[in-house]
Amino acid sequence: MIFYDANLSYGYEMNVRRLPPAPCRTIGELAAALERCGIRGGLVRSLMADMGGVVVGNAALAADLKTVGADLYGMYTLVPSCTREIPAPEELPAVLRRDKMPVLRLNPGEHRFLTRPGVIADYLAVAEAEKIPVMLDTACGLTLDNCWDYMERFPKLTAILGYVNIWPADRYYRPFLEAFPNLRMELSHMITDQGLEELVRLYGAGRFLFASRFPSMSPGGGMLQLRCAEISEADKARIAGENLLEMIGEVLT
Amino acid sequence: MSYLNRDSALAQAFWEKGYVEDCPIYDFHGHMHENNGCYLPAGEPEQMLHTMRRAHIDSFIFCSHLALHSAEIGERANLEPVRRYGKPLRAYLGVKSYDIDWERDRAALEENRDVYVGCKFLQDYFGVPLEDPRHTPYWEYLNEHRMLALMHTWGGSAADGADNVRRIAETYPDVRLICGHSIHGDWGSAVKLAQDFPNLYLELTAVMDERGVLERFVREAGSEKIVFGTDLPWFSTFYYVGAILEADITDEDRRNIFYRNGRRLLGETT
Repeated sequence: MIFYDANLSYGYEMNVRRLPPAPCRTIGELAAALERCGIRGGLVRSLMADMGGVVVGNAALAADLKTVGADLYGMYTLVPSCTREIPAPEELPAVLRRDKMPVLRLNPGEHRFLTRPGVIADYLAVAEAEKIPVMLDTACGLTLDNCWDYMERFPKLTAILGYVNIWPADRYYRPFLEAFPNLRMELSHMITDQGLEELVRLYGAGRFLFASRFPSMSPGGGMLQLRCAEISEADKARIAGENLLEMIGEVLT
Repeated sequence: MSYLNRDSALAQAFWEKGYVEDCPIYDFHGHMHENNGCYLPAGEPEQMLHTMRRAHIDSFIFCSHLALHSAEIGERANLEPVRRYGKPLRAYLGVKSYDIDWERDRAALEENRDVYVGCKFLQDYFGVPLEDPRHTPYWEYLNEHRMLALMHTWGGSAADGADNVRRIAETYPDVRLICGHSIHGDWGSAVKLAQDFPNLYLELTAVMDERGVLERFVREAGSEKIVFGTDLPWFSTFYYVGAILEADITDEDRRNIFYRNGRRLLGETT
């Protein structure tokens, strides 16, 4: 099994009430932490995009990715195209390939724009057509209802659902898996006993991505949970990293 | 390539099989059966015992959701599984603040001493503080018999927050108090309570999803004051074991948390 973590972050959180007890400030610290627990790489966002700004944040992440040995890939932060701050939708795929940032993300809470799907429909239309994954993360200014609205408008979108709710929440997230075939779910908060086994039985291993949300959460928990899951070794390998690499490959190659 | 934690021999051993023979697990925070608020894929006793066998859980102390939430069923939901399956199961009697009947519950405790190790308090759910006079006979009984009290505790709660726990700890020094969820979010108060009261322990359910808190507990309260718990069937035992193995603490700390403190609390030889 080769582990790739689908939800990592680093950087400086400016709201001290939201500081994790054990923050990770630099991409170097992140790479060292991954090496300590045997994770080869993953998908990372920089808090700078939310704290400093989307222009400097995207650029800084692209530069940082070139400085580490770990096999890390970036999440590119979107804002509405109407302000012309980031490349236009048709220019974006080339930028993502150039900067090794094959996944889009958004944080309407920090960047202050409406969560109605029409506001970023031009970017999402390109993402849907080009199979560029979009991270829909309830830790980043979206409710689960917002995520549903985006998916309902773009039902074939290649999306990664990140749902921050540590309690067993199948009644909330399973409708996404039932309704949207190109949506995958990252597993950082799916820690229900025997829950992964049932999800794989129902929806197939291809729908799930190992993720920890380091540094807020511990990678070790999800690693041992997956290692000991009563599913096939092939399914474990897919969830541990192969599914994520396949999604990334669609964009970068 | 080493996984989980290259600095821990115990982590490497757990990675091989998911358990280590000489490092059993004592889980002090369990439930069982259906729950109104969520779907649990493996909440029935046989399903839970399957997990316990795979994770080498030597002791599992629980209070059924039905014993807590459904007065119509009550303690049957605790007694029947323990009577049927025995070890590793033992139970907490559920203190139902909405259906208090001390004589009924005292009789259950007296008649089933091999089943019950103490009582479970779930005060946030019931909207009644831990120290409410309706609970006094329970606390006095637990104190007299030096039994366990597993309290759901949550930061900022007016029913089971740090102040409520402190009042109980000051009044009942012989109850073995387990702070379920460790006053969740109010980590500084949890540490202070563990420092101030020798009979009070911190428990890790829902703590392990916030990286760094365990390290603080070990540093400031000591690993001798922490017991393992999972809310099983809510949370994966393997997830919690893995998170502890990956934490920046020593293997001796991990052994204290996994079983040594539990054995001491239950009066077993170490």
